[in-house]
Amino acid sequence: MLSLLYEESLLMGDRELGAASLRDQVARLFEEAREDVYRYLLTLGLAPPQAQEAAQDVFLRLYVALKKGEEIRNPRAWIFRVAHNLGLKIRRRRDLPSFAPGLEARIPDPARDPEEDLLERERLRRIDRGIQELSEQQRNCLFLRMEGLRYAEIGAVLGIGAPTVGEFLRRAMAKLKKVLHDE
Amino acid sequence: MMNDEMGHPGDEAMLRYADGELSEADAGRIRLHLETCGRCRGELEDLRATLSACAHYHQVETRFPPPAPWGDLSRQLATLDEAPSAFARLCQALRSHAASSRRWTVAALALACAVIYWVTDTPSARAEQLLRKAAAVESAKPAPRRIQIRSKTRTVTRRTGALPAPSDVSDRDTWPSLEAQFRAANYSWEDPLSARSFMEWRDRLPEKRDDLVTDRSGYQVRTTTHSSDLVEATLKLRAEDLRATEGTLEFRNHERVEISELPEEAAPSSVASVRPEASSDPHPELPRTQPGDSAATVAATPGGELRVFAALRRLGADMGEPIEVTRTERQILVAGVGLDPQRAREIQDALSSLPNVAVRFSEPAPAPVSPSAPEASSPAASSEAVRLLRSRLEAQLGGRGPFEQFAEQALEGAEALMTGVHALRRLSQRFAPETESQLNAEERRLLEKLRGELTHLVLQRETEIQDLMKPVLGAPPASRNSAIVSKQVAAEELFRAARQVDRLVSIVFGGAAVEQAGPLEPQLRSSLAELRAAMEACMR
Ligand SMILES: [Zn+2]
Repeated sequence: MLSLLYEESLLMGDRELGAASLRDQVARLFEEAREDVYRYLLTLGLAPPQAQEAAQDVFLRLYVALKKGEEIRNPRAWIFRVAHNLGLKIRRRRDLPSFAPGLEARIPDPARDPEEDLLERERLRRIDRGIQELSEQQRNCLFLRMEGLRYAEIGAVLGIGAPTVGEFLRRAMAKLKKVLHDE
Repeated sequence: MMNDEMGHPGDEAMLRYADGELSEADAGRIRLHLETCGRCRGELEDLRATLSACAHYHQVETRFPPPAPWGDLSRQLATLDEAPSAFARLCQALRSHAASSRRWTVAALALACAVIYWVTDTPSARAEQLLRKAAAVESAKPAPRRIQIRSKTRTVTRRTGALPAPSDVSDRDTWPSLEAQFRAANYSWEDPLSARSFMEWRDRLPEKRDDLVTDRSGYQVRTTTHSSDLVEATLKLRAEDLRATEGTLEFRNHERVEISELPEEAAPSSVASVRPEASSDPHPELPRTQPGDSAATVAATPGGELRVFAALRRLGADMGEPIEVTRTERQILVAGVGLDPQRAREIQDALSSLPNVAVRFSEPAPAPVSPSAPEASSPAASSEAVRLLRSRLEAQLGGRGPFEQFAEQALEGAEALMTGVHALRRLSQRFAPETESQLNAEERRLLEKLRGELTHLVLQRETEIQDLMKPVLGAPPASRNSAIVSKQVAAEELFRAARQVDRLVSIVFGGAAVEQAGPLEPQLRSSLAELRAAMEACMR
């Protein structure tokens, strides 16, 4: 089954499509993309329950938008854009502290090879430090890229041009490369 | 694309190459170059290693599975369609959520969730969904709290959490038997007033019946069973945040236990926490008017007013909401205009336990006031300076669409900053040094805590707007070291700087009228630098 996420356009205001089919499409998108959206919301600093709730909310909005006849050209970019704005709003309006449980809490239990594990941890710690030093936009670009979005899509999500995305990512990589190799 | 005479691709081209973002022709050229250039192959390898370290980090960073199973969306959507009014309500909730940044409250989302609850069928399914959600909220911010457990013969107060034994039980003889009863019934003794504990008990029952009562203050879940020593349990979940506030347990031997939450005791003196949702919020410190003690005249003190501020802070109602606090000799008046009813009720509830506080909310204004800035694209007001800066930014951001989105973020950012700054300033004004000197040590700590929280929130918002502007304006020039001494002066200075930023942002991005000439970009840049300096002064 072809993924709807990659379709060029999702024109579901089309009266030909019955309500049931519209619901099915949104439900399918939901199943395909909800985990990605959820993860992205976590990277924006939402706590898991809020992120999950917001992720569901995004798809309800998608349904409402489509039902009103809105044409959505790139569903993936649309979904992440709505998630991005919603995530920022939730954080700001509820004045939540950022959900950042600290890297230690997230690193899995010591793995098989203790030495390798130590190296791994050190690397994660360095990346963590580097990422803290990025600007918010650079960080968002990076995390959206990690969810597999193309530069143009990232641009659409964040409201910046694709060239700017390239530039943000370049700076982010330069920074992270430096932190990884610093003695 | 090749950026030097040897034809080595630059960093950005290399990254685009690694990310598959180049046209076939450009990618082909790089591939060709890589065949003959060891240095670039090394660069590419480094880059890929960095990318993969990032990917691993991202994996670790997001290693939190969703707390609840995902809902059945297509079914929710179907039910929405079948109940047109529910659909309309949801649209309404989402719309108000999206359209008016300032008026948006948890209430809108709660409504959206409520719609979903009501449309799912049986009481059991609803109870289950509700409990799961409440448990998820709990786990997001686990906070030990004070609870009271009452049985027929005993009343005990203790803190929840993994405390091995209640700390202040006077009679230790009967207690263990109650604990044993809990354990025999598989009901958590450590944390008996929690949705999670309730759910864990309920999930294990092979046979059970649920019902769910809803009223304005919240939900009550009741589960009865024949397959446990605990034959009936109820749990009350508060409407606004699904926090478990009361519970009852009925055992087979007819022992009945009631559990309720108590207000927190004074925060330990070492608490200098700046976390906005620190659950330890002292309020019952003022001597209460005893019932029957009609002559009791506890005047409205600055400390009392401070507790009102603390209660409002807890609800986030001290920011951007039309609420005024004034204090006279005899009472503290909290007045609000046009609040939505649920919000008003929340605030009223939060203030109800405080002495000498009068709450007056007047009728909602006919239409919600939308303080949002004028359309970003309004063409009329643009002066030459505005036009120039806008077209430069449009070019930099990649066109009109991106610019407008950026403009919206800038306006929202400035608005959020201003609400925070207003709140901080108001606190500073209400508690000027001469007032502060009337506070006792405990109250002074509370004031510090509130000030810290607000400063922290303002800092977040300030950082957001700086982060937003930095890529387009460049880093702000180094800020001068200000010699601000008192907190009040710092708050005033911050207010002034923030207002300047807000004003310039609305000129550049919101089409506000220009009152003065001159190039805007340097003004905006230096206002951001001043904001930074004022912010730093506030944090000292
Ligand atoms: Zn080369």
